[in-house]
Amino acid sequence: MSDTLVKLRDIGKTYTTGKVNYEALRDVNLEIRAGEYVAILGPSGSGKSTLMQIIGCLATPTRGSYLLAGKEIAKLSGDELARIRNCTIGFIFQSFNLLAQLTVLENVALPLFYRGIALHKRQQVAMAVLEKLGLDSHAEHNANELSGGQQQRVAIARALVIEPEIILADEPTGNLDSKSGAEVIALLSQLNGAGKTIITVTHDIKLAEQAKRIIYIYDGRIKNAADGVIEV
Amino acid sequence: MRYIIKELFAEKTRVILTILAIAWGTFAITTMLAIGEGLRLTFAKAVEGVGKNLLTVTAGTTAKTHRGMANNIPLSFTNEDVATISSLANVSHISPIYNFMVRLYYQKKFNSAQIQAVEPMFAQIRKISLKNGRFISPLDIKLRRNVLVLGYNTAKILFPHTDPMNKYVMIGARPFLVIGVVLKKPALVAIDTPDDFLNWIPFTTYKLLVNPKTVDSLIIHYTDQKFLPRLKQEIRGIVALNHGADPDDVALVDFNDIAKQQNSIEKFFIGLQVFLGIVGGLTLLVAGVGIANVMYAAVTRATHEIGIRKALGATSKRILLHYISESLFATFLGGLLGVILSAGLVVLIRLIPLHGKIIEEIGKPLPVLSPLVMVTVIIVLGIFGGLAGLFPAMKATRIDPAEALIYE
Repeated sequence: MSDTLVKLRDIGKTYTTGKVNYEALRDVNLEIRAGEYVAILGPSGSGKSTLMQIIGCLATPTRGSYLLAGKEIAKLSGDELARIRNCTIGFIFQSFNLLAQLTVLENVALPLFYRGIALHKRQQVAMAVLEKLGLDSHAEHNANELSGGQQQRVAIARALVIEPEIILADEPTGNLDSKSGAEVIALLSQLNGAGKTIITVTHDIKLAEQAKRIIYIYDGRIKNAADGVIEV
Repeated sequence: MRYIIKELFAEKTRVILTILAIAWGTFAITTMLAIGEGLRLTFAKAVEGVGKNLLTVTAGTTAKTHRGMANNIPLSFTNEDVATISSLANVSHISPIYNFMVRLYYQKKFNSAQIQAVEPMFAQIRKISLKNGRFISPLDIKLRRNVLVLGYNTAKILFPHTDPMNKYVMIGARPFLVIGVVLKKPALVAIDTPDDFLNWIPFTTYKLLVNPKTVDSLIIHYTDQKFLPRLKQEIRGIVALNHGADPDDVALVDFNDIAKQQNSIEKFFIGLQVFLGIVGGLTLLVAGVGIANVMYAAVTRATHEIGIRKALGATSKRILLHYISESLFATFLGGLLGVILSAGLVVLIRLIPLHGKIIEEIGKPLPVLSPLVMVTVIIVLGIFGGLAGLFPAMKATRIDPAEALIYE
């Protein structure tokens, strides 16, 4: 039995626009253990992005409790959340979200910069990760000179450089052609095989098939609320 | 660092215009302060020409009745007064001055001028510089010689084309040998008559000729300015005691305090500096608003990117530092350019030949890029650059990463 990494209890999130309240999430209960590969599915506007933001510590829930590796984070400040993201969560985004003006190496080393690691040391660590993913020949290129597939692999390198507890992949194949998409899917499976916990939001059926558990979300609730999950 | 430059120049035209505005503001403030500093130093030198720690004391008139002493009685210092005053603790030297107006003749030329009968130390106390010859010597005093030191003005009138040295000038019916001619002296702070209009003879010669029982005024060179008010009080007390007048009568003695005048001139120039600094500072402020504007645009443009940085773990402090250093860097570039331009202008101004009566009077006022001016400019630039970055940076720290990542 692995440790519980993510534990959501009665999570709710309400957005207020003027006088209108919009409930994006209600009564979400969810547990994810270390080493799992979870895909979150659901139509647009179902609340899956909000759920990803909360799991990724980018947003805090309006109600409920969120234990991440046993630590309550629902009430933390912005800077405290930033430190947790910096050390715990590796993000992979649909649009890659690399900084176009920086080189590949600088992009990958950026999270370590925010951790306060010295220039030489962080370049060394970043370079090692790039080598592992076969991207070391592109280290000095600007991020925007690479193809989409290469950029997404650089983004994965950036997620891996911090040795994250969780890799959060938000539509990681959404902007890629099928060949590059297949490479990314294979890479994620390989990482999960090596013991990494992966949580992904996707419409890509090929990616979802690789996940070991699928969570379906609809109207801000996890479907089949009795046990919170549908096992595949 | 490389990144800061890249990001800053993302909107080239706007940034370059802003840096030029900062350069212009810096140029304005630096040059104005340099000119102000130059004026201040020039005038300070002219003011110091009179000598420091000097107090001229002239006998006045009783204003109060006191134990049989009527009011409105004019007083003169007696030799006894002088002896007592010279023994006071704060008095380092005292020189009696006898003033009289007389007609000086040389051949067919004449000049009505004031003569002061003084002692040798007078030259040092009042910082009198000689163009030719020497001032009155102790031997002149001892031998009561008929010697004369000509002031600039009298020398010019009596000897327009010839050298006055070793010529005899008639004072009344007596010939006096010219032993020295005084340099023209800038005098913004004068003790009564400007030095250029005075001439000097040994006070012993005067005493021999006239045998005065009283002294018109005294120049007192004192040691410590801190005890000046006490010294004045003591002098008044001595005069009151010796002449049987009321020691609280302020009209007994007139004090002409050079230090006070010097201070007020100094204050005026510090005020002028502050004024010029404010004018330059306002110019710089406008440029600073420009930087803030560019930085606001940069922050808005970079909202998505700030979201990415925050997602990767950038804390508010990191974001704040990033945008403030960007602003400081732009300010630094502009400031450097402005200071270089200003230094160039200062060198050019120094090369301009200046003539005219006032310039001769006070010396050429040259702008000075003193360390004080530079430190002021650097501090002002730092504050403006920092503030111009601070407000946009604070906006950046308030960006919500979850929203910013969706925002394209």
